[in-house]
Amino acid sequence: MEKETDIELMLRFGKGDVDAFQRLYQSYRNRIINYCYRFFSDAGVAEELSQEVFMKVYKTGSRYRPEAEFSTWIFKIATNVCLNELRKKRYRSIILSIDDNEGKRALDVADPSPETVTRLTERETKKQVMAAIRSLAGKQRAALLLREYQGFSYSEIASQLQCSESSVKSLIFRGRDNLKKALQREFREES
Amino acid sequence: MTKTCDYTGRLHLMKDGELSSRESGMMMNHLRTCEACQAEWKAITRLSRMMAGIDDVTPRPDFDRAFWAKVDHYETTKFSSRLKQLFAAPGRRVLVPVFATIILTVVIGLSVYRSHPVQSDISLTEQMELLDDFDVVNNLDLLENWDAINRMELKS
Repeated sequence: MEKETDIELMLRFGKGDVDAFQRLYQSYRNRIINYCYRFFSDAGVAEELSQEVFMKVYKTGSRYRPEAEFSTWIFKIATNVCLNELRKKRYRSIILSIDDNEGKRALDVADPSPETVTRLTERETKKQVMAAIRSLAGKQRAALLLREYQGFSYSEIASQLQCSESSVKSLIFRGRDNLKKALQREFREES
Repeated sequence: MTKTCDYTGRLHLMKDGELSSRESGMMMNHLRTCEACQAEWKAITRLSRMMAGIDDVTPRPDFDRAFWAKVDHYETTKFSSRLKQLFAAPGRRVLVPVFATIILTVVIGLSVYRSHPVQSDISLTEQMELLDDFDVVNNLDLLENWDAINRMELKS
């Protein structure tokens, strides 16, 4: 039997089949949570926002019109939810200041073994990468996350961010450039 | 000083699969000879690896329960909000007194219907402490003819 597409499932849900929604929820739950998590580096916020995303999908119900791939559509909702949250609260400055202290504490270990140093360095690098992602402007962050983690094409990202493809090119290019600048230390150590 | 090249922007497109195979081939040829593009290519692939290194999070155990509770709450409030919407539109405000009259008529009708005593009410009274009063009321014909009964008893 041919597998039902996500669009077909959503249309079936629009006609009142809650099982179809449950299947969509199960298959997108972790992807949406992790998208929100990488946006804010906060698991609690990510869970709250992803519930908001799924509630929006649920409430759309019979009003859903398949104008694009379902994944493009649901990530458009997720992006709007994240960008709205970013506008509401000023996460960037708050989280960066907390993390700066945590970063110093993490490296402050007396006489560590080589494995511990490697583990701490890896952990520190991950933290730096996450902090660098958080330091990006909202749309740059969204474009880069949608490209790097979700593998969306530029045209799909353009529809999600409601802008032109050339704007997406520029957002991704500038986003990577800003990340490189923010991670200068890691790049120097690598070379 | 870092060398620059006009083609570095196209490296990002190549990395993201946005170039045709012919364009990608041309960029690969250029990459072999351009130091600036080699450095940029190394940087963006390194950046991708670093981003891929961030671990996924798994939702807390009660995440699903919390979500479905929200759905249930939404479903229960949906009906009342739809009702509000129905009457909120200016053209539909006239429906409010109509519906109110219908509901009032039904309520009054039901209460009038229920106010008539039925057989079950009487049998209930018989089973309660009111039984004595019920006997008095039930034997009213004896009370009305009390004098005649007395006379009959005196004669006998």
